[in-house]
Amino acid sequence: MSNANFSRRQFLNGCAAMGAAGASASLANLFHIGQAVAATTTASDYKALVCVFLLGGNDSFNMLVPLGAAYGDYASARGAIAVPEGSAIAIDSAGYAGRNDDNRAFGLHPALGAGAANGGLAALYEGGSMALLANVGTLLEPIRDADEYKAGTSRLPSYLFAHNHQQLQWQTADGSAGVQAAAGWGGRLAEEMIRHNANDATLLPELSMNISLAGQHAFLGADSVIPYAMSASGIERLVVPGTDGGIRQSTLRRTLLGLLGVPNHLMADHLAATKQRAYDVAEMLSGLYQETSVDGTLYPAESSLGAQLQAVARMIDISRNALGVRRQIYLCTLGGWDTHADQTVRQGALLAELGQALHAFHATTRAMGIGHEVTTFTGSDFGRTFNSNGDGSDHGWGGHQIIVGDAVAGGDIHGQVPELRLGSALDTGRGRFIPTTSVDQYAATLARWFGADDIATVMPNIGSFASADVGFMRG
Amino acid sequence: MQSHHRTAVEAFARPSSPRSRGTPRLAAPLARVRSAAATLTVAFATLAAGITSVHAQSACDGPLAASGAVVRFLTQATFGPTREDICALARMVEREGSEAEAFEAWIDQQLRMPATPLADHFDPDSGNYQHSLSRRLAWFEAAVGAPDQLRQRLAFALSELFVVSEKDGTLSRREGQVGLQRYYNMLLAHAFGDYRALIERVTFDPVMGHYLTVVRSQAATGPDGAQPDENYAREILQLMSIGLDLLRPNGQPRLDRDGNRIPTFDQDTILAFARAFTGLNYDLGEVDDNPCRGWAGRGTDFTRPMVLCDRFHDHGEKRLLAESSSAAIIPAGQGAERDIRDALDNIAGHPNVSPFLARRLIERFVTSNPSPAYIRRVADAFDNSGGNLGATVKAVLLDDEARSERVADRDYAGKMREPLLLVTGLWRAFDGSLEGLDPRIARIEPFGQSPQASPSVFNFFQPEYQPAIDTSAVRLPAYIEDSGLYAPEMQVMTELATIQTHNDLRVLIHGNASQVPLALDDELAMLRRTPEELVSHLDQLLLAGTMSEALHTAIARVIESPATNSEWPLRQRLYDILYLIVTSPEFAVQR
Repeated sequence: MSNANFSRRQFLNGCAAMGAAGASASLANLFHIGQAVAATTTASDYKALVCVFLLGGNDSFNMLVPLGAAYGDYASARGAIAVPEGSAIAIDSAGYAGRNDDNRAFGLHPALGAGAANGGLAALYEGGSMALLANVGTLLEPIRDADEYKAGTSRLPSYLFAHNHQQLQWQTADGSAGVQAAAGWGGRLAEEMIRHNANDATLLPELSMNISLAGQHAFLGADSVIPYAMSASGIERLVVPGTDGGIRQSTLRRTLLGLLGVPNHLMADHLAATKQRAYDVAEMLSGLYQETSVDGTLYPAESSLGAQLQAVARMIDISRNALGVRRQIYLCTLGGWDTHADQTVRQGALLAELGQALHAFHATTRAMGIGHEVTTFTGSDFGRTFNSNGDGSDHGWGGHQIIVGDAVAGGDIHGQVPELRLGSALDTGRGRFIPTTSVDQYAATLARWFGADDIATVMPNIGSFASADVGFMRG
Repeated sequence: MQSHHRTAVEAFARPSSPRSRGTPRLAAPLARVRSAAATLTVAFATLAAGITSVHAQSACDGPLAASGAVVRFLTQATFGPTREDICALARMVEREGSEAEAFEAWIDQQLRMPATPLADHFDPDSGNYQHSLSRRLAWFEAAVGAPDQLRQRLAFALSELFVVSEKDGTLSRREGQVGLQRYYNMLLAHAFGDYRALIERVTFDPVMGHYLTVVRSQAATGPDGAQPDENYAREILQLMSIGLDLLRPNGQPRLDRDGNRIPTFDQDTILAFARAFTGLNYDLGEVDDNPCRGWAGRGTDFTRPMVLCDRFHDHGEKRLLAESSSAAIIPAGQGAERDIRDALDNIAGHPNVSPFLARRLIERFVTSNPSPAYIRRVADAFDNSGGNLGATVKAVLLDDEARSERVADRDYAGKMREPLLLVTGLWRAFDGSLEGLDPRIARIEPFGQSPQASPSVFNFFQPEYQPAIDTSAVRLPAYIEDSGLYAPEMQVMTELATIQTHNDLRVLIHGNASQVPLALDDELAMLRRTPEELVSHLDQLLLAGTMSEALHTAIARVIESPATNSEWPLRQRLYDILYLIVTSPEFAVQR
């Protein structure tokens, strides 16, 4: 890859020139260097995974609603939080019915569809680029039913139903009980791809393969992977007092950067390293980032998730076209799903935002010509109790997730939808259903699509489950 | 990636003896100040026209005398040391004859002080966001200016334990903002009282009732009907009292025969507590005393404690925490009020409460990695005082592990400074202006932190957060080797946030054309006449005399810069020196 090495020198020279000039005039120039290089090194083989983590525990039993004969049990368990049968958007689930010999009819929450300005997720489902994975959750081994659960013989994830620990379990899924900090599976997947030299040709190795739009979460980190955390509002550069090129500013810049390299204390050193990384990446990328843009009209207004996904699209654009990156894993979050009360109003608003944002982001990737190369998927702390608490629901276990992209086997429900009735075989109490697909299987399916071949390293507990591919990705 | 820092340790010419806070006498660190000053003498030559004598002063004006131990203590116990507080406490040390006695006397003084409530700056005609700013301004005023600093600091710590937040649709609005401040004033009023009394106030508080959705939770409507809301029941147990694992009195988890941790509760326990907490309602009974008024409606009240409506309470028997010294079985039919009080007794009587709270309070004031023995001593203070929080925080601050300068010198000592305290500390150190308070202060959110604005009930950062720090080159005590190194505040210190906060601090320190909010005339005079005095003054005031040689050298570079006065005016140099200190990695750690 001598060509790439040469390009990197060119690129860094461009950056250095910019630093010395300190002026944005050279940014366009730099961008062109990047593009010229990209033309020779680009990455026909680009892929990105974008995790949208729904903080708080999405009540997905209202996201996918049983219709027809099964609606009665649903309505009686859910009471005031039930989605009215007539308002749900009926979907085609013939594939699911055939595979599972299950003829229940299903519909999506109305906020995922017609009301949404861009057709939301219902339109994507119909168009075949959105799938559901049913009743997925944290497990250490399969648990047949509630009797087996209550017998106490199964190995269980620690602290079921507790937000922080279930987020951790979800994001690490390494087969341990999850008491101590561990690498995230996004982090382990990046390590696997780095072993395959996935991003060796990049012009900016300082930029981590894993990028968070949502601060620190276990998902993206691993022993050798330090995720880069950025903001939906862009890449902020350090502003040093004094005029550009003046003695004051140059002295201060040199001095304060120098202090970052002097060891002092374990925590101070860690902070210094973080700041140094932030500085390096921002100096090189903020100009390029400004050069990109995304058509924001499809995105929901004043939406945190919409802004995060637009930033992801811009970073993908730079990374793929200017930096020659081949693999990236992103994390976005949307909070507010812990709907113990006032669920009908709150979850409706959240689902509308989620649906519009995911739809808009998918449209952006298509416009960029990478609808097949970007797969977006949701995670959440846990599902919720199928039983209501009056005007909300409480912490549960298994729940449904959404996968979006043109490489997705869409327009279909994968996994198994549990019998949606209180006291059914999987009900451990109040409709906290035992997951029938583990997070490990969900992750392994995505990892295989991403290009990992050593799945057992990425998902060390995958051997405890029947299949490492639950079929929601094509090819 | 991280290890090259450690290998550089040997290469870096660190002072061979640990930073010399070793001796408790006030004048002792002077030798080090002199030696540091000596290394800078050449550097200062270009600017220092005046006399360069270094001497301790006991007066409260002029350069701050060496007083590392006093500054360390005040950094832990207040929203940042002021020069006046440092002088006053230093005089107490002289009078009492020892630091230990002086610090104890200072705490006792603080414990007797009445609470300064947050001021009412709300303008009823203004909008939601302005209400948020008004609340933040009142918080900042009290944090910076109130004399009852220990109480203020403890209330802030409690607000991170008994979390309610404006990041909630209803609480972000006007009535909610006013309610949040009233809740904070409740924490202030009860900060030095008993834990059991505090959790009762919290449980009945309508802001908590809304935030954790216990308000109007009602008895099940049938076996498969709607069940009581589990939210508050779960979080008061997990986050505010006993945590998830059974603990030994020293805070270490108890293990079963197979070496596994033992959960404090299961789902049945949560359900039982959820049933005990049914029947709470907003107090809407202004026209009559009907506590059930408005049960089915949407009316709220964030001004008065919630009331109990027996009609919607679950009157059945409840089985609570068996390990508690207080009855675990609540008999049927004793009414909502008695049920809730018994449930709170059951929580407060659990043996986990003292080590759990001991660790949480130590983490907020002193260190992220307390030894089990330290936790045990603080837990004992809690138990021996009948769960008194004032006595507990006194034990936190006076413990040898908090005071020992030998401990403070270690590579893992202390904690990351809590972000908001970076700003309050700056304001208190330099008598920052509160007059018509600059809106920039109210808006500033270092590392995303603003009072009562955490993203969820799990606070801004979690106590269990462990950054990926390579500790292989450092000798750690066994208890840290076993559990790993904790650094909760680090959770919010992402790449993005380090740059944003760095830039925010620049704006705060440099001010703008019309206003610099910090009072820096004394420091400016020092820079003009005797710059090395300024450096040791700032070292004492901001870093308790622990400034590294590297930071000394960095400051010297600013002072000695050959730039002309018009290129780099003296006043700008002073701001820049402050900026270098406050944004330095070493200042980010409170040892």
